[in-house]
Amino acid sequence: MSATHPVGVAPSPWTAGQRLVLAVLLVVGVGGLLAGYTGTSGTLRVGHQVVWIDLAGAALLVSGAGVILFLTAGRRAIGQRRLGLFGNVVEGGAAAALATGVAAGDLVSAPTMTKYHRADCSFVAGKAGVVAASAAGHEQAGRRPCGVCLPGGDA
Amino acid sequence: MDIVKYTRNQWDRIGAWLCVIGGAVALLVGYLGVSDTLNTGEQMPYIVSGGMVGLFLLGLGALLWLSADLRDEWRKLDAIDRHLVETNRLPAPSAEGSDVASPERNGQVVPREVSLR
Ligand SMILES: [Zn+2]
Repeated sequence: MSATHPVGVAPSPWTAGQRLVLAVLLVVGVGGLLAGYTGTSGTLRVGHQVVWIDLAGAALLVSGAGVILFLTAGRRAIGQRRLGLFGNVVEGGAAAALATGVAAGDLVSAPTMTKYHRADCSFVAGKAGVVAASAAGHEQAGRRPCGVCLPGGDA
Repeated sequence: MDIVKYTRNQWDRIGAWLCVIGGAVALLVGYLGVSDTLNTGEQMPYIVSGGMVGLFLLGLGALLWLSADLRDEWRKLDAIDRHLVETNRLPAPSAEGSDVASPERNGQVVPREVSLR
């Protein structure tokens, strides 16, 4: 995610395209309201006015939809970025574990854990006292393979 | 903190308040206009200028306020991101052909000191 949003580069969660869509839909709303006002002011015949009221109401709905889309898009961009950010922190934890003597392909666990994992599994990231062993060694110690990183292979 | 700086930093929240106030005024005007007459033809323009414009402005105010919150959150993530890179807890973003993005180089970032909570 930090590749799509390099550090410090994107000053807001919205792309130029999303801003443009919002702007267009808001302009549609303003235009519809202006048209509705002039249209209803120009005549006293309710039958003619209803058309303009409908137009203004539709424009209002279009703008409202634009607002909701815009806010949802921003919310989602923040969620994705947060995920990318803290995903990276977890990877950093795995790198720290590697620095303590666990290799990338190792199957690891800790004395307090009931499952064993691939060294890069997020469940062991940053855990203290993680040691590596063979799959058979882990099974003998009574540990089961993790269901997320599937250290026994996914077959 | 001077008022100009505050206005520049918080233009969206100030705008939100102005829109909400404007929306309330429009609704009031619309109500007064509609209740002033029993002629439906005379009431219709007030429904648009009062009711619908009022709703539009209230929605615009909500948009400005919520987007200001989202923008703050984004800036906060930006600060965390930069901090992690600077303390080497995060691999620098893989921008092809360029090395670590230094904060000085990010000229387009406008820090918003007031609202970085
Ligand atoms: Zn696992």
